[in-house]
Amino acid sequence: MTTPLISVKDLTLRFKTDEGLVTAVNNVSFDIAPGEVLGLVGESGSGKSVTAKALMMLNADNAVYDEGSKITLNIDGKEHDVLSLKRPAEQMVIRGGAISMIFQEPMASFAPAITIGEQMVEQLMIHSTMTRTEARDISVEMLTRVGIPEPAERFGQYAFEFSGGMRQRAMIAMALSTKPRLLIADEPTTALDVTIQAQVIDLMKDLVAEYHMSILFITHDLGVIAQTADRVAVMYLGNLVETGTVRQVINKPSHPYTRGLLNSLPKLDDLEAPLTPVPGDIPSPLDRPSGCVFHPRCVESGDIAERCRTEIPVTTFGADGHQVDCHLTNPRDQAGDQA
Amino acid sequence: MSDILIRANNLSVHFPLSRVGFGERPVVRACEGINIEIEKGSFFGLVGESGSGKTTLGRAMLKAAPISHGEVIYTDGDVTYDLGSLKGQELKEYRKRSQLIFQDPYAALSPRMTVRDIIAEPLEVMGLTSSREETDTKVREIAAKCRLNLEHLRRFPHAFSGGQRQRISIARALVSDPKFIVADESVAALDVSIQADVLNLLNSIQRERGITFLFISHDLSVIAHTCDFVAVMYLGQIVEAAPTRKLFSETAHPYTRALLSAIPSLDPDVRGNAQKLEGEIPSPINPPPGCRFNTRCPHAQDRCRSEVPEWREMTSGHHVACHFSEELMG
Amino acid sequence: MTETATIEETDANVDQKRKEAYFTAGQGQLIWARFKKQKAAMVGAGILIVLILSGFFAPFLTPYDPTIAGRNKDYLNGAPNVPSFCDDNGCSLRPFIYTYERTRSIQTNFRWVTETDTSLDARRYLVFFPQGDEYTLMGMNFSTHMFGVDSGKIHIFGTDATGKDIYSRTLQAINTSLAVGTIGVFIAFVLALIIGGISGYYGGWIDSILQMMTDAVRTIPTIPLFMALAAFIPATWSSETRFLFISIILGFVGWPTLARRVRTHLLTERNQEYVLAAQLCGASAGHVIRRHLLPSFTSYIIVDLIISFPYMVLSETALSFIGLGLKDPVNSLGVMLQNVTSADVLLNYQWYFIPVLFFITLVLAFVFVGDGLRDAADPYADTKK
Repeated sequence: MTTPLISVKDLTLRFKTDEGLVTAVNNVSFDIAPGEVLGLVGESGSGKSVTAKALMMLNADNAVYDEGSKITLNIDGKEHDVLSLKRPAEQMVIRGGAISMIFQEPMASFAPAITIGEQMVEQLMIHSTMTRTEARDISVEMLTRVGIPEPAERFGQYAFEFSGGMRQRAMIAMALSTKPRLLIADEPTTALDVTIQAQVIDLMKDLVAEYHMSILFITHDLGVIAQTADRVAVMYLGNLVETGTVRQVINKPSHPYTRGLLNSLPKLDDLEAPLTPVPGDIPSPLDRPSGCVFHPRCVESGDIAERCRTEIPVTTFGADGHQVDCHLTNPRDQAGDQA
Repeated sequence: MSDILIRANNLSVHFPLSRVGFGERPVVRACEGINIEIEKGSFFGLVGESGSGKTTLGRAMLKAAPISHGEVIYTDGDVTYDLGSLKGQELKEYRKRSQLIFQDPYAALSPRMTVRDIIAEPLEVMGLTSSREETDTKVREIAAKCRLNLEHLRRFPHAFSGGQRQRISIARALVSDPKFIVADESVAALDVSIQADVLNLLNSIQRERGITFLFISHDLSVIAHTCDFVAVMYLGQIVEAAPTRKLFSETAHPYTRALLSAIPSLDPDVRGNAQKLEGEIPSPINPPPGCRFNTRCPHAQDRCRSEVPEWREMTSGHHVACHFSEELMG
Repeated sequence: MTETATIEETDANVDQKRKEAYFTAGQGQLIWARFKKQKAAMVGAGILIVLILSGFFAPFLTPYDPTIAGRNKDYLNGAPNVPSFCDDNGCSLRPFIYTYERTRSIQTNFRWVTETDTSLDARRYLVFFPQGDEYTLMGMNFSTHMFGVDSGKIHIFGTDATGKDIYSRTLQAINTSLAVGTIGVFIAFVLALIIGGISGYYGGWIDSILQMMTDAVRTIPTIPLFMALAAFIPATWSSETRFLFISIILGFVGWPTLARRVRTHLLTERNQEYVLAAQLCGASAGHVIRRHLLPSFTSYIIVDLIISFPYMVLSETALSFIGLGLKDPVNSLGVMLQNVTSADVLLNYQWYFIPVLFFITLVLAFVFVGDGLRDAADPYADTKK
């Protein structure tokens, strides 16, 4: 087993708010191998964005990390304990250096009064010892690589002169110019039209192959995940409920939430099928259910409902790496899954 | 031939922009030459990407956007309204019969009013009830239909999640007993698991009350599951319109085909489809000449760049605006 | 490897009642809840309330009539009499002051000096709720004051050149300044609401014209304006009329800033989707304004009003100080400070400045409360997804 590029263990994160201590991420563990695309799927309140930001220590000041949480970055044989990096100089290695992030709303990520080119050059010069000319050349090259026509001209333009899809590409160009090992993409295609989304997804897949880069792809769109990810992790209300390869999770979902999510999607190949929503509403983070966080909405608990209400499920590790946190897939049941 | 509730004939909606320098005033051609007929009691889907003009079309049909050319005619039993010239008392009547459900559940509800007041507002404004008790009864009835209980009525919107707020929006739209509802991207801002819930609610309302829905969305799979009839819009024009099943099985327009193939499939083994569109969506201020889709169409020919394709009926109920549909389908 | 199959407690120990309270809290209640959390603002609010009440109940709280009628002829420019409980002669439960006497003689170079007699017999004890000068409060006549002395007069802040008790005058001045401020703010507010409201609601060319007017009024320099007005005021006007006039003028000069805020709020609010929803029901402009627009910026406008108050007070103070505003016998801080510019006062009668402390406190209290309210005023900002 190759050393994972980034390893998250028992990450628990709470926020201090007026209403009390709110748990955003609860005991989340996952690994990302070099060159792998991990899809992090969840709806609002699932904690996926918070988890991603934790990898770069970008969460707000009122975030409280639990003692046992550990995020380890392995680059070039060296281990970095991300959560213990306090000095900005050390953090700089991670932010923008080894790890880059792109966001949902590209308009919000570019400063409106500075040209795109200027921002890309700035990013490069912070993270390396290049001269301005070198940085400019590399930036224009990146803009070409992401498919922006007339890159030299576009280099000198402002964010508002780009369309949504192009801004997202420029954002990807900027994020990739420092050749990061891990790209965190937080809902990068959600705000895009579907035809543009298809283009951007293709681009990202090409870049992964070319740069041998890993991507943590965060989204709520299972279709996009199915098309881009190698492995999938499903989050619900701060907990990681299921992890596995994309075929395992999508074709043979083991957790009732994943099953419910897949069932509620309108599918083009079966227009007659009724849409079955997951019953109930996502609870407020102030109101975390006891035991298994999903139990109030679970339709499959049946006989063991009492257990689901009182006991937190233990993670079941399948032989093929398919993990799930559910009482239905009990320790007794470990032989179940095949890829 | 069942009743047509509302139809648009050659409808155009243009928004003039402020003049830049000297010369002609730029105009956003949000909708151009729209011809559609919505049957009474049907669930009519309108799909398109940004700049397609679908929101504008929806608003024009509610007289919430100005009609620059053409007409929109609403016919229901013995009343007929020409939206272009509607005003005064007749406009008020029309407002009772037609409602809008907004996209953003967070912006559509006044944060300072209780849920009960929000739902009751149309009743009070339109004078549909004569006493507070009557209003309360009606509000409770509608709220129950949308799975909002008495406790919820006393609360303010900040207490609710996106899905719940959307249900409040729906309740507000229903309370005046409308005949025609435009749902503008009503599920776009919702989580997937809640989306199905709201869609089911809309469907059950439609079945029970026979309300005609114009459902606007950018998500073709959502439309496919809920609508009887679909119209596809691109850059202000309708490029194809057909009953849902036909649209998917006998796709006639290259744009529709591209839209369908762009939807990421849930099957990880189906990757790398054909028909990926190149280029960006042009601006509605300066649409391309001829067929507006020609800049991105993989099958574009010279004729497409100069001649505007005619809106024609290919088979019963299936209209398309493309020069080469037969060749492409064959 | 995760274990622990124990029952997890809910993280935030919020019980059902509190949650329900949060869900049913209207705008006012939410703002109040947020306001309570800000210490500076709460302290400011407390002080403000105390000062306002002191101003209102000034005649009761002070021992003497603050006008000429209540002056102490024997104690001009007198130093403050600070009550004490104990001195060399022993302690007493009742606070007392010393007998003082002003004399001048050749020894003192013919300057007036105050002599205090600290002997036990010369103590004058404070009495509580004595009868004193009559006054009118809320339409009724009273003559009970909160405190006094058993003989002679007590001046805890000293007296001014004509013997008027500075403490009595200070509290009365607070009252006057607050009254001027209230009238001024009220007038400014009404004007701002009308002009800013029309401007913001209709937009377009009405807005442009009204904005030009607003800007024009805003650029009028106030000092020359007031000088002109001061010259114009007939000497025959009573001081009360003069007081009203100054307040009204302050209002007329202060509305542009408020009007601009009202306009901005309206321009934003009328584009909100819930306003469109109401309009699509056929709601009239009146309904939209009443039900949606006005409540939406009430909280902001209250903040603006409270923050404008100190400006009114300070403007009036400045004007009165340079003689263009109020005059005796109407009393305000500015009037009280009219005489402080002589060297005599600065060197010898420093107690003239005690009222300044009160006013600084008053203005700061307003500012803290206004800031606190402004921070608390948008309780819905964090409910967007």
